[in-house]
Amino acid sequence: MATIKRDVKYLNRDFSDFRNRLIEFSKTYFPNTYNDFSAASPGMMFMEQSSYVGDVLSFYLDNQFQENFIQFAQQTNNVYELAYMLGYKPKITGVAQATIDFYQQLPAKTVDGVVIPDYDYALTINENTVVTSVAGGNTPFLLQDKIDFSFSSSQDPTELSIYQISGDSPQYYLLKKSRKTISSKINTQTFTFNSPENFTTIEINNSNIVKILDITDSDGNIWYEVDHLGQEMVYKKIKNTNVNDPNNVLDSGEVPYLLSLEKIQRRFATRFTSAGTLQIQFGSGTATDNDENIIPNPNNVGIGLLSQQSKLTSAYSPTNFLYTDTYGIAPSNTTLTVRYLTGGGVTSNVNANTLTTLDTSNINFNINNLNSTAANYIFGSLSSNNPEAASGGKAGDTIEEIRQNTLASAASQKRSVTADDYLVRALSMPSEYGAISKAFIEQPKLTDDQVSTIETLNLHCLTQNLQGHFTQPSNTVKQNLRTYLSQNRIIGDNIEIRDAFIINIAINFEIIVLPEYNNNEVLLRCINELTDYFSKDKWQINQPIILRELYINLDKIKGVQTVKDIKITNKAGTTLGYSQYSYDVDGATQNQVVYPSLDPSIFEVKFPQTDIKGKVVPL
Amino acid sequence: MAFNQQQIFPIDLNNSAAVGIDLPFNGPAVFKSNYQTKDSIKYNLINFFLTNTGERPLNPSFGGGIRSFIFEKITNDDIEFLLEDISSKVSTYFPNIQVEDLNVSRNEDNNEIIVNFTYKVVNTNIQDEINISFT
Repeated sequence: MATIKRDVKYLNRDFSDFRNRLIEFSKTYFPNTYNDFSAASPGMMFMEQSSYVGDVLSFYLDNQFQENFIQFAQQTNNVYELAYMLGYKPKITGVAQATIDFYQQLPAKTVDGVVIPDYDYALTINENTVVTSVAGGNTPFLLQDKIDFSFSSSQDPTELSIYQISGDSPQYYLLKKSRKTISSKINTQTFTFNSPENFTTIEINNSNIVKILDITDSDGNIWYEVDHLGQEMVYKKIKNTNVNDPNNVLDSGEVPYLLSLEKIQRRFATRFTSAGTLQIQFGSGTATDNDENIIPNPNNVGIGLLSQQSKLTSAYSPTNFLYTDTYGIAPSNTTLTVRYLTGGGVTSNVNANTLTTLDTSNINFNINNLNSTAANYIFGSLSSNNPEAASGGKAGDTIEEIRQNTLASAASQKRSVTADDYLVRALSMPSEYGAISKAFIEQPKLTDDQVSTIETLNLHCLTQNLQGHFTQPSNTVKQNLRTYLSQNRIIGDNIEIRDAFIINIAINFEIIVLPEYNNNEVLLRCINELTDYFSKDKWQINQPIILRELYINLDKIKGVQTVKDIKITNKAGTTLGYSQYSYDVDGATQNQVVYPSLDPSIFEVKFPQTDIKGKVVPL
Repeated sequence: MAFNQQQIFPIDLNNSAAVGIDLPFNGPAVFKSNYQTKDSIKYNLINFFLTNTGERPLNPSFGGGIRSFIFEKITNDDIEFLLEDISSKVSTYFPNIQVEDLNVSRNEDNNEIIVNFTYKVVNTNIQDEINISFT
């Protein structure tokens, strides 16, 4: 039977389009079956119902299609999935960093008639020792590296001073060492595995998870975190000591750690869910292969490729050049102990001189059999303090931040090539090293007679303090950022990390309110609108203030008849709590646009409750 | 002699071309087609009165909305309102219909509203009557 070919159009997909198309279709193909297309006819009732169903289905079709693209996806879990697909790992929380000074006293001793410190009483503070704030708060700070007061080097100097004198001779010395700490708490959870299962996934339900610290099994094997299970090679950090590498130990002052490439079977990949929990996934292999050091060579590169697959056209990654297909071992008949960090957030940016409560359970003397009275006194002399406030703590990525960071990081392919690559790289720095809130990158401005000899980029950064206000990043955060960027930096690029300037502003506006509206309510709505417009999440370094936009936004508010005037003024002065930098706002305003300074700066309404003021004026 | 010119609907001349469909849907193949514009208009009016306002997708004002009065204590004012409302809606959705006579009565014992509606199609000699009871 011949098929009747009918002209069906697929482009018109809303209610009225469907309705019109169905009428046309009926007129064309069923001219004798139905002819009454008035709205009241029972036949049109069915056509309109069909159009309605089509409209709804089209909406869901559009919605599903939209959720497939990171640029447009709205549902949180879809944004997370797409971010992972494109290689960006969203951050659930941002931990604060603080440099803490640790002090201990040492007794003096006399050797050959010379009074010197008795380093037998030097203490060792082990890594992951906890320091808490006297100001309260529930986020402890973790010591990242061990402190050995008996050791001093250019990389790890110990300051020595006389603490107490008895007669003409020193009786006690004071030792001081500084270390970086992060606002995190170690949590432990165990998982028991029986028979092996392919790609087993376990989930950690906790809030503000920073990262997995380590995973060990019942036999003491260490499991390594990889970006994805296909990655079988990991870079391992080895301390540059005589035992590990006698050839390089002379450089240990400059190069404290050595990198080695190791093929590992016990591995796992992690991913945060949109609910803030952390999933840990393992591979599908069995425990027959052992971890081993592998140096890439022509014999082992691509060893796992299928025989018919061309080695010439295969893509090789330094993280998986063997091409094996087990994706690591699935844990079986063992118990995994997972240690992970939680913490961070804006409240972890504690004030200076507050990190003084030291947990001494992880601290010991290097030598046994010391005089117990002296040892007790020395142990009691141990103290800590943070001379600078902690910085870098912030909430996790917002959906928009995930979207933007994903788009940028996907384009850079893990290598920083353009200025924007460096920008997103800075913003994606793992939160355990301190979070950068705002960043802006530019080439330095050269004067006419200056010639650039090296590709230099200036990266201007800001973090947020305890109250969520913008602040210049501490040297610790900058140092970490420098190290972090160097991993993906192009050899010829030179990155200078600088502070961005903060320009505090106040907004005064005048509106005319429609007669039937309550003045106070309308004014409050306007203030809320401006507070939202100038919220710190939405503002970027070097972003100008477009006054016309402000006028339009206020004009749209219910009850506003006319926006008569909006005036931006500068607020400066550290005594008032504002930035030290004053700014000529009037001079920087041209054609209803307030431009930032030539040196990268950001406008900040520091105290919206007092800095945004409105007035209702008569017509 | 004056000649009273009347319009006719061309489709009425084609006996094989259906105009609309009858109510209720109880034909041999669910739908029973009608072949005269007069019948089509009548069933359109019935369909309109049987539809409650807000019932039609994306056309919330469509419908007689009489059913909502069934369980109300109907006063003379309500009757006046219904007469005015029905006339207004008919003129909106059926611009070619001229209302000749409209009566709304109530039977309180049975919670019943009865609409008697006589109408004429403008410039034609089509004239008809509808009696609908809402219980």
